Amino acid sequence: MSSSTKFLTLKTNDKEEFVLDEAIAIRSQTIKNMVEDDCVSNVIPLPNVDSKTMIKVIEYWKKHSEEGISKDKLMDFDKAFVKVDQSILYALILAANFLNDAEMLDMICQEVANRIKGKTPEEIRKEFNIENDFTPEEEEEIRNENVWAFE
Amino acid sequence: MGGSMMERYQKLGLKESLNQPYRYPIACDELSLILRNAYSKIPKKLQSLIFRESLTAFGLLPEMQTQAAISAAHGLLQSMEAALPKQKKALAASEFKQAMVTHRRRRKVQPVLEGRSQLPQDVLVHIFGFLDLKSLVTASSVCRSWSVAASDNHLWQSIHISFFGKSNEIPNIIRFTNGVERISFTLGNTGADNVDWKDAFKRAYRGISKKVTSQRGFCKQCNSIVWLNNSKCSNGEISDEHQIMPVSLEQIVDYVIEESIPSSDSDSDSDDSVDGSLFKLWAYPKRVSEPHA
Repeated sequence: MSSSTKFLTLKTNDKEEFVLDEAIAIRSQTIKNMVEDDCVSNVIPLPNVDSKTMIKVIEYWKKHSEEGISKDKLMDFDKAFVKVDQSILYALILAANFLNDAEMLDMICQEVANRIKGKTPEEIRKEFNIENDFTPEEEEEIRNENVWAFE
Repeated sequence: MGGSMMERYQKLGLKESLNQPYRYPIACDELSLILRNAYSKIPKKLQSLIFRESLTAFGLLPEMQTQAAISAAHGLLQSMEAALPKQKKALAASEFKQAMVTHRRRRKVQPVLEGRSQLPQDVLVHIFGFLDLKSLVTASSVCRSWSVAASDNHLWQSIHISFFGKSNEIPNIIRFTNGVERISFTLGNTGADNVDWKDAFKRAYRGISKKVTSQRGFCKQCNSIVWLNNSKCSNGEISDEHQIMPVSLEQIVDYVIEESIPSSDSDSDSDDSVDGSLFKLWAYPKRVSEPHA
């Protein structure tokens, strides 16, 4: 523990442990606050994140912490990073939100927004597996209400 | 200046854009209009590039699962049929047909996803902050929870600011008991939270005669037509520094062919119009609030 590089152990909700360089882990504002408040014992529990998602998050953090990596390379990485199923994207959003990593959250939210753009409501429901819980009357009412934006 | 016609065309980045489902229809429309309006006027080399990229568009169609993509590709086919010589026309038609067959086949095998996960409201609001006006309004008709999130007052406040600038004037809607409504303005920040920003925006938006909601703009810094991201140049690192002029489809074609640089308004070319009130329409701030914080 006296070496210059400090390591943190992160424990996901399915009891997996990840040992990570503190300098990388504090990309998460949540973890950073815990470290600064000195309320870190040995293991930091992450009750809202599962191991599958954490692997992706760490992959992202490591890439974005690489020294001297070019902007283009990072953009390519980000592009490939978000090319995943909607369910994984949602899990990543929830993780980024809980870990409070604004940069990562914004990037993924932008991707979700891109998947919404240019689609009809029905196409959006299909894309995100959403149930239409409006009654036909409500749907009609909303449609009428929204006409102004498409005039 | 913008270089040769070929360079200006390539800077449109159509090939790249065709890969992105949300840009696919617009890229098809641009190809389509170039074919229709200018195919005979452009150099041979560019003609064959446009032809190849149009075929690329058909090749990518099966991956697009939207009605907008299909109708844009169909429009592109019609333009190709109008502009191209016989042989190329035939090739285009058969490629399109093939693409439609694959598209239908793929639609049938779409797996039914298991489980429905929902995002918390604050996260949804945050995502919706990345949407353009029309997509945001569409999102409100997806389901109840999206409808609530898409009506978030802060979201509409930032949309209001992005269209009409950060004014200290806060629209107050005074409702008289007899049903007559009047809008008055209060100076200062008091009461900003009491404003129904969606309602205020709706009223103000109805008042604009020229509604430009294009996803393309001419960026002075990049000296090319760029994609807009929340009405800002998507190439800009600090986007505020990239001055943007939204452009219509016709203006894009004019720019590629004749290098006519779009100006904000045809009746005024002075710099005043750039920095003045009209330009404010396009000086989008990113977001007003940070809902996730």
